[in-house]
Amino acid sequence: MKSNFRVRDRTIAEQVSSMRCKYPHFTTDFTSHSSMKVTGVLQPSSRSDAYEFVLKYNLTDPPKIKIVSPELKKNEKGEEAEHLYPNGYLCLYQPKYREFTRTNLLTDTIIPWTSLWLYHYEVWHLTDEWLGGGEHPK
Amino acid sequence: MISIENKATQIDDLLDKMAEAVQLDDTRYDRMKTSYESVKDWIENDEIFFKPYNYDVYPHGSVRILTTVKPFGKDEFDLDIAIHLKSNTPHTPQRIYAELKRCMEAYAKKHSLKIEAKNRCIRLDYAGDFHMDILPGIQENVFDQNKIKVPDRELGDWVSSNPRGYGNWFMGKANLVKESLLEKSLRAEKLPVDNFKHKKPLQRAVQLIKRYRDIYFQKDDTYKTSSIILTTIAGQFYQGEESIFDTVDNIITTIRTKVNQPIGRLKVLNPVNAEEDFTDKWDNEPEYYEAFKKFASHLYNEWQKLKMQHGVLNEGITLKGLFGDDIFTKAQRSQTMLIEELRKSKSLAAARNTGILSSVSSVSAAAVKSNTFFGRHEK
Repeated sequence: MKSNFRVRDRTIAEQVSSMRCKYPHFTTDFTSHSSMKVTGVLQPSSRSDAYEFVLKYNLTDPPKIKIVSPELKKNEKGEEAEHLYPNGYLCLYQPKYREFTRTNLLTDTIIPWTSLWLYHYEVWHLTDEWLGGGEHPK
Repeated sequence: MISIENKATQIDDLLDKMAEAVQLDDTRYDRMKTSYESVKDWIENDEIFFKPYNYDVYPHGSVRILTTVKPFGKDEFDLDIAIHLKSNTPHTPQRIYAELKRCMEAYAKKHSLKIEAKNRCIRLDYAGDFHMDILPGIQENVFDQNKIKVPDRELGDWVSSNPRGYGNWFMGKANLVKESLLEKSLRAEKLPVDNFKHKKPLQRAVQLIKRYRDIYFQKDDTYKTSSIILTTIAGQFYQGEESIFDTVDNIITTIRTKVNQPIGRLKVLNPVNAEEDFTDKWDNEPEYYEAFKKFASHLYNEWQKLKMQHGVLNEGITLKGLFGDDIFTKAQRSQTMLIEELRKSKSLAAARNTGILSSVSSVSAAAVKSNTFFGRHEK
């Protein structure tokens, strides 16, 4: 069935309400009428550590998500994990491919991608290889 | 359910994959089988001595019970074969041994193999690949199809042996569990379980314990505990646990209890010949027993660390120490590639309450939509 519902940008209220509904154990707050902050814990596999994150989002910038505890570690060679922006934010998607746009819910994208990123972060420590694929800026 | 969704299957999947990585690989198994068939034909067609007799030729040892482990640092397997003459013969053990030696020398010459006369068997050396130890034996009586007398050259007499009975005993123990934890979890995912048919938790546990023994005694193997002792202990203490993790846990915990008893030592009797103590050497050379106790206690302590569940990063360090960096990395990589396959086929989700990656079949999980990790890669 063809939908004639036009995909439109999600409002911050929609993002907050979706987060509170689907992830009631996270702490989700408005930080202004057009911005929000989420804190919570994600554990990528059943034997993994549990990682506390902070996610900040407003309607003009991409979502920013950072792991606050336990602190992300470098590997034995002193290298930083892959797919991290210099300020410590996770690089979860390629903007050019529009994998996340303002029409998407954080709950359906950024949150599960963060689990996946954490999974690959741990595997990177264990195998010395980033097995999650991805692209690097040229 | 995918393995990493559940604490028990997550570690068992890794243990299983590590055991897989140390065992005899399929291509070499096929080569061994071909060589074994060829030796068998050769003996069966030996006009001079063997042809008129009625006998079985079969593998015994770890190849029979599927607990093979690649030797650490080298790359040669042992294939143990028994030639089991069914009827009694008037010949002396020396004669049987000499005839086998003659027969195999001709075979070795034809195939340019090195041959070595050992105390009870003839060894064919398939250079750099494997050894085939051929044990000649005569069935002791008509009531027990498995008991054979084998010539012992040093003793100059027959000794009783029961390699096939031992194999049956071990397999009976391994099959105490109907369906292993991993079989169950695969069944739940409707994946083929054939892979696990012959790899019960007890077999996996024996492979891992042997592998760890090879690493533990790597620097000094003077008092290394033998495979037959470890395999027998494992079989005797096994209680039908469903997981590899619990199987190892139960075996090493039972060893710990037994060796800590105030009187006497742990004895490991041959399950198919109670008169034979595999550990009689431990009386005259207690260093062997001491080394075994230390080895078992180290494994016990490492297993306790895994039980604490201090996160996969710490567990990785423990598992690498126990079984080797290379095989751990190989197993972890293979587990992760399965996750990546699910991701590519859009069958991956993350549980809402925990974040744990799972299959999309769960209603309380968010599907992982396509994404491309992006950003710098700092070397």
